Amino acid sequence: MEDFFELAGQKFRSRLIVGTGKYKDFAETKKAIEVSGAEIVTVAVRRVNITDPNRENLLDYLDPKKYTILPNTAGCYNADDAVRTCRLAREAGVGKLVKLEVIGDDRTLFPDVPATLDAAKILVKEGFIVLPYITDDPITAQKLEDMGCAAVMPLAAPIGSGLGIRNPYNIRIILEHAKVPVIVDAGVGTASDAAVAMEMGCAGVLMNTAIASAKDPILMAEAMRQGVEAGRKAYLAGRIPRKLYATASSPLDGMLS
Amino acid sequence: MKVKVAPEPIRRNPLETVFPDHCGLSECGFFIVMKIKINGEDRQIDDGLTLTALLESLQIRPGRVVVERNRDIVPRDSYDATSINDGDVLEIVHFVGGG
Repeated sequence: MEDFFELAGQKFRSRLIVGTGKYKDFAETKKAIEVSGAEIVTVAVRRVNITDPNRENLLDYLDPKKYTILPNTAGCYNADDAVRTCRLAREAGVGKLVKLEVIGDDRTLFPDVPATLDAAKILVKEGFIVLPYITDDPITAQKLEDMGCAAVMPLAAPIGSGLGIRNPYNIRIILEHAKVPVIVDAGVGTASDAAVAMEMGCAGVLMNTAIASAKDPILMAEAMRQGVEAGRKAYLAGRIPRKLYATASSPLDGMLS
Repeated sequence: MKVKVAPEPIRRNPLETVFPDHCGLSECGFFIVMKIKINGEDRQIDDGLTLTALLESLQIRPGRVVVERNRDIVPRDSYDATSINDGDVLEIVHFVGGG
């Protein structure tokens, strides 16, 4: 069965979106991404170090023809900075896709929701394909969808926390109402967390730290790929209902007397 | 009579302030040094540099960066036609690892 992840009219095979931060070096980044099977990768926009003799560039390792580059607005604490960052990213010629995150506080890295809404409004109007990082709030998700965002990306838990989905009920409500893809973004710790998100019916999972900061990032990248695939298949297969009491798996007939 | 003084050496790294002071003849066209800001750092560069030449002197590949000049994005195809002016504030950004 062919199962595609559709995002803004584009089809992807992989439902795992990975970040490129925190790796030991670009070679490890490249290897982990290859093993993860991801087709969409997030990147950040930062100043070039004009005095650094090291001229290696992330895009030398990530071919934009092979991967869909998803620039983020990480580190932006207001709508203006986020919009400015997206405009710069677009000029780099990697498309109109942006991961909008407007951070509210550096301790929790929770999004500033009103600022995210403000930025999303401008970016959608300017033709960006906006994927906003949000708290697991169904009302915010709905507002962003109505505004024209191509997906909504509620957090599982705080960025880099590895806690997994803390409020599956809110994610369920978001899933029930959303007509755009719901991508769980941030807070995944291990493969089972990713599988849980996919089993619930999320369209995809976005992660960075869980892979990059694992003891063996390459092996974790593989585990995450399999976790996402397993979760997706389980969702499509349709799980059995939860029951309080046992149901025998072996026939009751033909027992020895 | 105004005497034009040829700079010594003529080819030099435009970002190095080899000549601490202006020759004093603003019309001489050789020694004019401009003060600009690149990525938050104060720099002095030769007058009349294009953005293409500036990036080259910084050993930055134009295809890998985006440049903002005084808050306006400079389209990639107009680097040659963009000359840097005194007091310009430039931001040169690229993609780095991020989540």
